[in-house]
Amino acid sequence: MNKYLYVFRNEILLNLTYKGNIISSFIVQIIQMITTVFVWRALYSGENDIGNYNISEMTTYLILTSLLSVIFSPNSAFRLSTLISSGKLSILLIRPYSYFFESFSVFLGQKVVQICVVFIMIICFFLLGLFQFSFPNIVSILLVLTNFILLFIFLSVMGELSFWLIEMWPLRPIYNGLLSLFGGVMFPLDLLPESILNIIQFTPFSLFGYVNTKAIMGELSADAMFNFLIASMLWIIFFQIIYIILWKKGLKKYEGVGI
Amino acid sequence: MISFKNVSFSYKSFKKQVGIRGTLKDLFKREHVYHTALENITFEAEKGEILALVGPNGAGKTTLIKLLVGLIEPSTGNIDVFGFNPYKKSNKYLSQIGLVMGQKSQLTWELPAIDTLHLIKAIYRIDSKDFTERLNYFLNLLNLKDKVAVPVRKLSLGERMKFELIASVIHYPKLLILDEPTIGLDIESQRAIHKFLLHLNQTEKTTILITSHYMRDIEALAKRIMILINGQIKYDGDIKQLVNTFNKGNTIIVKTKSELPDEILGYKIKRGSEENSWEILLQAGESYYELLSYLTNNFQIEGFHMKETPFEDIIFNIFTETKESSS
Repeated sequence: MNKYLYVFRNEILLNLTYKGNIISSFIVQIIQMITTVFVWRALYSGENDIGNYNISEMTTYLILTSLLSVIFSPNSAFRLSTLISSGKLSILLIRPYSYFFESFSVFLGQKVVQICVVFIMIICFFLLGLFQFSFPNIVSILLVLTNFILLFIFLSVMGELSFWLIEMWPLRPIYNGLLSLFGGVMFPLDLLPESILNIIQFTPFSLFGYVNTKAIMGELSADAMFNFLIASMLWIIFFQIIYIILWKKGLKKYEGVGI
Repeated sequence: MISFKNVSFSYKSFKKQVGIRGTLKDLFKREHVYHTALENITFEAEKGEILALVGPNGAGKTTLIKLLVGLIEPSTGNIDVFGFNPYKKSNKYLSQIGLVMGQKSQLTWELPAIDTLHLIKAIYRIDSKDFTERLNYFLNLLNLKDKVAVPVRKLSLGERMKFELIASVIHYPKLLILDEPTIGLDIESQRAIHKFLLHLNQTEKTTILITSHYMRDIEALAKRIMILINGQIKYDGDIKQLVNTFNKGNTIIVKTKSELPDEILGYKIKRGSEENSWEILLQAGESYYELLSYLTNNFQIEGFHMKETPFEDIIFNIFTETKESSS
């Protein structure tokens, strides 16, 4: 079996031993989701539509972004920090493989379990009649996949900051805050005035939350999808370049510390 | 095979100022300090050699290991290991070395060791049949047969270290580097590890470089010792020769039925720890035949035995002497 496949496999095994972690992250998300849904239901009292959304579309949107934000959580950004403080990075660096692909395999291993849970939950919600959507087409699946790769590279760059920062934890609430706001977890971004929406919707956070949700709901026009796909790819190239630069500088810094 | 030529390594760090005012100052301007961790290191090692690297904490042992595995680049000088420059970290080079760190584990804590071993098999592309045979052989040798499916976190320290060893040698490394592999282990595990390493060295001609603060490790394994103090090599050579050069002398302990005078034939006599036992210090290499015959002829001797200076004491003396001479 390929070495990266093994890394992937072991990561799945590892994640399955942390059952409690997975369950608790979903419970937290579901509680938040229920709160948001109830707030919105209250806002709808007496109104048929808010923006372009009727109440059941809004519910579908909110449930989907919430579930997606479990997958698009910043957890993977903190792996490098642990590896550096424990010195285990040295062990990985002297193995004959690429750290970048190794960490991608770890990332996939972590995500695969979460994606399965999200998938099961979407089906459950669908069967409960809480969901209304037409099934996504190939382009929207491609868009979600590109955004998923962008997530990995974005979090890797964020993780590289641990070469310079001793405490990484403040980044977690910052990320979650930005995802709630720019990612449209609290409200769909197209409720915003168009001038603001035009800027915000192309940020990585919007691609992670809002755009992915809309793509899965099949509510994006072909043009919009194409634009988002281009934006996502440009971000990937941008962050990949930053990643390579920071990796070189970071390793130089790491060398000064104990093995 | 391994060659270091005039290798030095220095690094930059910051001076931390004391107190609130100092800390605030540090926010804006920090003072750089340059440390020299290794200075002008030159040595060579041959295939199949077991080389012990000894030195007080902070002497530069770990830095030397980091240079050897390519984690850091020498500030000046050249390193060549089997024709590779380690710092380039080519996969071809990395697959020929193995590293065991007593204080850092390469096994995944929550999973059984066998999962990490399978991962290592994939990384180093070890043939399946070969892997199974070799693994079984090692498991038998280290008595780990029934521990292979136990999560690493539930293993004892000794068992874990043995698995670390297997994980570092399963891919037939030509060079095995061990950084304090026996730290915190009981005597039984220590000896099992000694036996394993000697066996590996003999059957596969693995070159071994070991650092340890336990002199037992060094004595059991290495013929050659390198003493590193303040980033410089203070001694590099045969262990026996080191003992002969630096051993200030051995002590004869004599038990008698009567008192001994303070001095016999120019030897100072010290009272021993037990009643009517006496300690006489001999210079290294000095013949004690004359002294013994004098004692047996003139006093009632119950017994005597020779107490050699422990290896640890010799090393300790070298450490302290160099410290005193440099300060």
